[in-house]
Amino acid sequence: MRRRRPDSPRGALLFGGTALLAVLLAVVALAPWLGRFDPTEQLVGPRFQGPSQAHWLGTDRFGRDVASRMLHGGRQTLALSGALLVALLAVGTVVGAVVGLCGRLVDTAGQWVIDGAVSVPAVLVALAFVGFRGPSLATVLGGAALVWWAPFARLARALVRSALAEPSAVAARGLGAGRVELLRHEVWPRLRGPMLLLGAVEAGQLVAAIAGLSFLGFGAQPPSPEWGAMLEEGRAYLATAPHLVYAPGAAVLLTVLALTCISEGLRDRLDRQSQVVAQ
Amino acid sequence: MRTSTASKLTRAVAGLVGTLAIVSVGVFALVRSAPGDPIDVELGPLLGQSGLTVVEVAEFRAARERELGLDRPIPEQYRRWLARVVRGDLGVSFRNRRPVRDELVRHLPASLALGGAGLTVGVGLAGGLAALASRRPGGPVDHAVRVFSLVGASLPAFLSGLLALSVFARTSGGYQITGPASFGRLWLPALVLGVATAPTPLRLLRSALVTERGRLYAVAAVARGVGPTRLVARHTARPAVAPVLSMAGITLAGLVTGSILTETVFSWPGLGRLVVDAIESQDYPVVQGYVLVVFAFVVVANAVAGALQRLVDPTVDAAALAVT
Repeated sequence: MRRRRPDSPRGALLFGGTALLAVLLAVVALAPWLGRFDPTEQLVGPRFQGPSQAHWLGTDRFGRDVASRMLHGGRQTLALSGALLVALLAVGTVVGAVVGLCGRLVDTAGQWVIDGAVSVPAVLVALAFVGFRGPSLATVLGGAALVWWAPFARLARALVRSALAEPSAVAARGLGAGRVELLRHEVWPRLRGPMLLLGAVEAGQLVAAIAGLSFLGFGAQPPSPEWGAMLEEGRAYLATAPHLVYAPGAAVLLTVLALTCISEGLRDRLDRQSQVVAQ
Repeated sequence: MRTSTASKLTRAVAGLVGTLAIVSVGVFALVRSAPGDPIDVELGPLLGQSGLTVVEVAEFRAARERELGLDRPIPEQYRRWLARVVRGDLGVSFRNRRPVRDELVRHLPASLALGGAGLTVGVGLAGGLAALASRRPGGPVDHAVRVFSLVGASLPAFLSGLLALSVFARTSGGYQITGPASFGRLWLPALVLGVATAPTPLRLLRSALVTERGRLYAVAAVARGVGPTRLVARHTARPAVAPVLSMAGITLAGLVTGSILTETVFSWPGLGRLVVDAIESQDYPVVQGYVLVVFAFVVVANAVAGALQRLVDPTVDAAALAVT
């Protein structure tokens, strides 16, 4: 039987995803310097123009430079989803850990709340918020955040419980380790890997959800350049000027693809680690 | 500690009712937090046309407030609202004055058709590709399937829908984007929704099939001369499906979310399209009706999926459920 290198292509996935994400983040962060035009400036000149030397990705219905809009478009989405992700991770981990550590009553109640929140799709909550509070990016994110912490909390709770049941944790407790020591030496090392993995999975979902809700017209509002909003604008001209859809579409696809690759790579690495431990 | 099936069932139902109660409180709070009070919204079109005096307007307002019970304390308002909603009285659409219930019922078939077709395509893709990929883990087919699932997972439904449209809109005699729901228009959105739904169950099923293939009973079956197709079909498929069921709830949520976007892209006259239009025109009763019905559906379906999974595999525990 042919033997394969154990690290390929698993490590490549994680590496490639991270590199792609780093490039995307750098390009988007440097948008004001890389973009050659103001993203909202309505230029006097040809509209719906295909790619040319002056406008690398063409112009839209107002003669705006698509490349500049695309570069700027990611800033809001990526910055907000990054911030929201960190907040959700933190809240979810703390809630899950507290529920997992407390007594039976708190655990039962907490689990019920978490399971309930997990069962409601965050995008629907965001949609409901938009329906009654009017469309805006803040409303969308606030609505989604209301239930999106729950998957993190559920995983954190399960991990805390299983970590405390490990023989080494039981032994440490028997030897008189305090709560803080247990958390730091027994729980945290077993918590961070899977939590990071879930973070990568949910990050992709978050970017796709924000773009999708903006596409519906419920997130970022015009003329602010945002990938989903650009897709919605380009949709009407799909037959005549498809470059208006291809450019922001590629941006969304590459971002989510980078995050998916990272999460797959992390999953492989975790799987391998747990196999090594099992052996 | 062992608990009887009956008490487990009671607890599950109690938990479900509790979740639904919280959802209803949340929706009620959201409805009441909408800008402008309901009577203003109702009066809106009337005020401009009729020559009503200020006193008459105030009288109408007071009468309507009593009628709607808006002068009562909030908990009582909630009780009345809930009683109405549970009876199926979801109010009247602002836009066309039709009962919200009729509007929802009218748009339901198109959504069910698209959701059902999308789910069929998704499950078919996931099952078929997982079976193919698991025949030789690490082989070329496995890699190709993995690339498909990576790209599929990274392609939100609205994006793949737009791409599909941009391809088919240009071919001659291509896809008709306008018109009522029909079978000739169903296949493309169903395909898009299916490809968006497939990756998660595909990945789970593939890895479960690979694990099962390594077990002693499967090795023994191969030694007996069972072919690769029969091995999957008759031996490893059934135990591999159980863990996939745990993701049924998430798959369902993805299907509902994905169908809102897919319906919008393809102008498919389903519930998703209805609610997007209602939000755009601030048709609060329709939004409320949609939100209530879909939330209730998702929560109940999740509970059923959980119960089903416990039925198929009684050893399931919370830790296994939590790791997605």
